[in-house]
Amino acid sequence: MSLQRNDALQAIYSAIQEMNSQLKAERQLSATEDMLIYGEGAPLDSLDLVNLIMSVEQHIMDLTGEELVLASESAMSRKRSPYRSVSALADYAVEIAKETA
Amino acid sequence: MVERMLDVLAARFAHAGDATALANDDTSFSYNELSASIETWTQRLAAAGIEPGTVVLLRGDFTPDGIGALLALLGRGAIIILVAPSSFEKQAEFARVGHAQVCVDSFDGTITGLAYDGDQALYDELRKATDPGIVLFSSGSSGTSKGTVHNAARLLEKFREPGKNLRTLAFLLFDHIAGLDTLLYSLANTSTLILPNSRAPEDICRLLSEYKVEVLPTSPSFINLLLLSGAYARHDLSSLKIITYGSEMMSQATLDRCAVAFPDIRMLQKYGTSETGALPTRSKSNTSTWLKLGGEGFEWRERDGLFEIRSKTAMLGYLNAPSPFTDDGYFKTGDRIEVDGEYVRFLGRDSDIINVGGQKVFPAEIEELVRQVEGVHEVAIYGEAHAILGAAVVARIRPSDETLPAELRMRIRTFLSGKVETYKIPQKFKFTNESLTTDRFKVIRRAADE
Repeated sequence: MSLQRNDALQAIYSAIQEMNSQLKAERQLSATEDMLIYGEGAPLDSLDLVNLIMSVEQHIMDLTGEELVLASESAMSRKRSPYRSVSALADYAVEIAKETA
Repeated sequence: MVERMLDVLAARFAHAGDATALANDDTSFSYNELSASIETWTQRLAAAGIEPGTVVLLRGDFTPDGIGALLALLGRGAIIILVAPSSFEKQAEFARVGHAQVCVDSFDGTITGLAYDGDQALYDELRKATDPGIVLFSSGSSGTSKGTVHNAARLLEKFREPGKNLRTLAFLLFDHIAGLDTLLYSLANTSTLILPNSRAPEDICRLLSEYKVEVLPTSPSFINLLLLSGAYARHDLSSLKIITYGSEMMSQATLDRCAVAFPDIRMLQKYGTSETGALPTRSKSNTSTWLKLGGEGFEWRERDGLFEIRSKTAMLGYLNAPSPFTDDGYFKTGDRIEVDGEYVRFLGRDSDIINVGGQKVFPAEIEELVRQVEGVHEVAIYGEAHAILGAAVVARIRPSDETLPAELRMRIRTFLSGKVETYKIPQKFKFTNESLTTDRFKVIRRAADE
């Protein structure tokens, strides 16, 4: 499948908006590329992280009609986590979309 | 007569003296101070009229007061219903199902009477034996929690034989069998227990490093998050000797990553249920999901591919469900296993239960609620494999109108939030126009193509 980086970002931003409606004021995420997601200095806890990733998958599905799996063993075993920031996640989504026939 | 285990513990605490029993950023508590706290709590309980056999709901956690109150209640011969902060929203239900007569709040020190009478046939067994009791709740299939009643004297007996003195992090929950097991093991060997304020990987790693922790009892999901966050590389974890994990399936890929990230740490799998207690286990190797189970007081067998256990530390029974034991005393765990000689490997569960990072989700409970949401015609809840949490909760929805999927998704999430624990809220939604029930009105929890 082909996924434009802008579409990937749009899907992440939509997922962030959805998530913010359920997060307390002090834990709101900003919809920007340099927003940290998970790891040092990032605001999300584990369940938030999983929810966000799966919500991004849903929004990509809404946009493209195709299923893209962002949480996988290969994502987990990367030296640098694809979940560290919005920008890294968008890059990762575009990259694995290319590999998905 | 054999000395009571509580007296054995008291003697060990006295002997340990100024050695640190409990520590974190806010507190450091020696065994002498712990003994004094138990004494203070004992006097308070006596003044409040708590007699042997009184059913007490204890609001507590791994804090000096939570542990002091627990040990004092055991010494008093009470029947204790444990409630940790993550279960506070279920407190009223636990009190009702457990017939709690008194609530002891270890956080603010209050002791208040409750409306129930403590009448229960299983409690009478404990009262007759003059043993203290512990009640642990686990999720039940219909959404109501099941209370397991344990003879606390028997649970304590396991720790009479001295074990190893290792600095341990109290990562697991105060009101779960594995958390309780960690606490009792640590106290019985007068070790230092480190009490976390948060379970975020960064905070846990900082504690591991600052307090030179030797054992981290945790779950496969947390290990995934630990690796993912990279927190382990930012702190000095050279003191850590053992990581134990249980409560859900461990993937081979995660174990292999651990071998790279933690080459000098032993990875040990644990196994326990609220019904049977925690079993002694031994992993075949650091990177093996095979383990040897059993030891004194434990027997297991395989029946039709399923795991059954008989143990001395098994519960007396459920408060609110029929006995799950076979006629010869085995508990049917519902876990599917593969057996190779004396080694066992867990393959998953033989049921619809979804295990999200070690927490159980029963589809029927969530389906019942989602059906009440406007725009939902039919719903089926099931689990899907997930690389981080082991499993994710998926909702397959047949909408009743033209509501947009994104809008219906939000409506369902908003409806569920506050009604059920966060981990039970579906993380993924699939929409279909096909029927989700069989012609016998049973929910189809998986599509034909899955």
